[in-house]
Amino acid sequence: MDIKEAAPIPAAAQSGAAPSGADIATTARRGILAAAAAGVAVSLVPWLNSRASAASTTPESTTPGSTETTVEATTTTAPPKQPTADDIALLDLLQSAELAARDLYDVAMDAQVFDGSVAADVAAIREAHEGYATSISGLIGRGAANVRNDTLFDALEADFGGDADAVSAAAALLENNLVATHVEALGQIVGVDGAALIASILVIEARNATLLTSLSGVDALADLLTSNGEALSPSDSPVE
Amino acid sequence: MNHHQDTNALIEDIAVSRRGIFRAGGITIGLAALLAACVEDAEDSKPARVGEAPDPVPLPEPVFSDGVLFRTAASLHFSIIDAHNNSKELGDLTAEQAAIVDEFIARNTEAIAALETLTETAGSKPWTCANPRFNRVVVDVLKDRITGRPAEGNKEAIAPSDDPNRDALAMAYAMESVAAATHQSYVPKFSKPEYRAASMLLGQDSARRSAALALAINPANTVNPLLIVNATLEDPPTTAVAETATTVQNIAQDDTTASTEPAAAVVAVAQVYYAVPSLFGILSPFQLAIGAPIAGSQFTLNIETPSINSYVYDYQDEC
Repeated sequence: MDIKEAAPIPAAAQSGAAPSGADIATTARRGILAAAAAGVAVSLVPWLNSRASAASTTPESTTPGSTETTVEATTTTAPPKQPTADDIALLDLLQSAELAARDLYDVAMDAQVFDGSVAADVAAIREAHEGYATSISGLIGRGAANVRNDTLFDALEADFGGDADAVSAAAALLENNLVATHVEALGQIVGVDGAALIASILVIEARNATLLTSLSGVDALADLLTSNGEALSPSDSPVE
Repeated sequence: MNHHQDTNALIEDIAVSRRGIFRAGGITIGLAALLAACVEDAEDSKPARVGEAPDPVPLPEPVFSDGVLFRTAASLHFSIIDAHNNSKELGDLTAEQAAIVDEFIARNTEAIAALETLTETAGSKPWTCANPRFNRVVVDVLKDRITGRPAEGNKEAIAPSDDPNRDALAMAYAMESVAAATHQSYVPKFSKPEYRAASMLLGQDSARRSAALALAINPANTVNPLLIVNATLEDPPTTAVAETATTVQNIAQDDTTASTEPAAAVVAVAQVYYAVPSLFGILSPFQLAIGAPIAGSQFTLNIETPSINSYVYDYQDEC
């Protein structure tokens, strides 16, 4: 399950043409399905391990009469309900992306890119992203970072101030990127509550992507159904 | 004479007194109780049966696993293909609509292939046909609502749909929405994170198909107005909400001017399907209004995601 190493929000890909978008999406899809089929999950492990090392709660036991410390093997058969420390690091990344999305829609609304019913639709989508960030915050608790992902926001800010069709295309790509990021994260999140929440978010963001693609003037069915998003890199997380 | 006396003496010797009887009875009961207490407990594994009856067949143990979830999801996609074929067959679809449904069938077929691989990875045998229960309680019922059905036994007759095209598209929308909800509902049930991601990759595909079809039915069916109202509390939406037809009886109407012709059955308020129907993916039953209206209302079927009574367990090995 490969997660993209470099910050994958290229301006070229956001222009709407993105000839390689379908290839990227196909590769990502195959990667996720193949990873699940192979029963492996490795993409975020190094990053998570480095983060988890600072706040490890792994139980340890000391053998009597010995100075060696042995780490107990995990014997849990059912996944935990609450987010683990690694889950929280991932949820912080997802929350930061949702807050960036909210602010990007604010850019479009402040510039009055849309009007009429489309403006109302965009306002609803903007509200939804804020709601997702709030929900993730509620799941994490007091430790939630509540920080916007500036890398994502800065990369797309200019794309949310053009004409309506172009902004719709940029917004569709943003939604597709969020879907890809959430799916990648879902393959790493251990806690059941966090996984269920992220699943309920990404299924609507996929719908948002289809709607915004349609609003951008694209009506080919294959384009409406394509998930040509790229997952955010963990290195883009604003939370240390 | 002596002989008679000897006989009486013998009778007196063996005579049983009342006290003797009580004593013997008490001893007997006491011994019986003692023996009963000392005997080893044993249960009769084969209680007495009356008449001829076949031996009961023990039910197989329904073991829940990741493989069962993948098998069930695959079975649902097979059922959805059945429903989509019903839409094509019965819905008087335009060429453009038929092309959409064909594309949906192809993508569901791809989803099945992926699920079969995942099923094997999870240690189960792939399921290669429709979900029997889902077809029985959903797909077949919806088909009857479009074609109509004569009365059968204790089942009442069903009138054919007044608008098969409307109902066929609504059915297709419902099927894809239920598929998305099913994959979402399985996320907390999978034991491994990578299975959740793989399932939702297919679930978000279904959600996209549902959204695309909502827009194909009516491009104005974008976002549920309830979400817009909540998002624009300070700035009411500019979209005009369509007036809903009233179904209240006009009791002040003059009977003498009333028409004696029965009014044609029409749908008072047609169900609207949105590309973005809710803030979060919801798992409540999908309420599909379908079929010819009766007194202005359509038959409504609650379609639930396959759960315990609809899972395709590993012991089920025949399609």
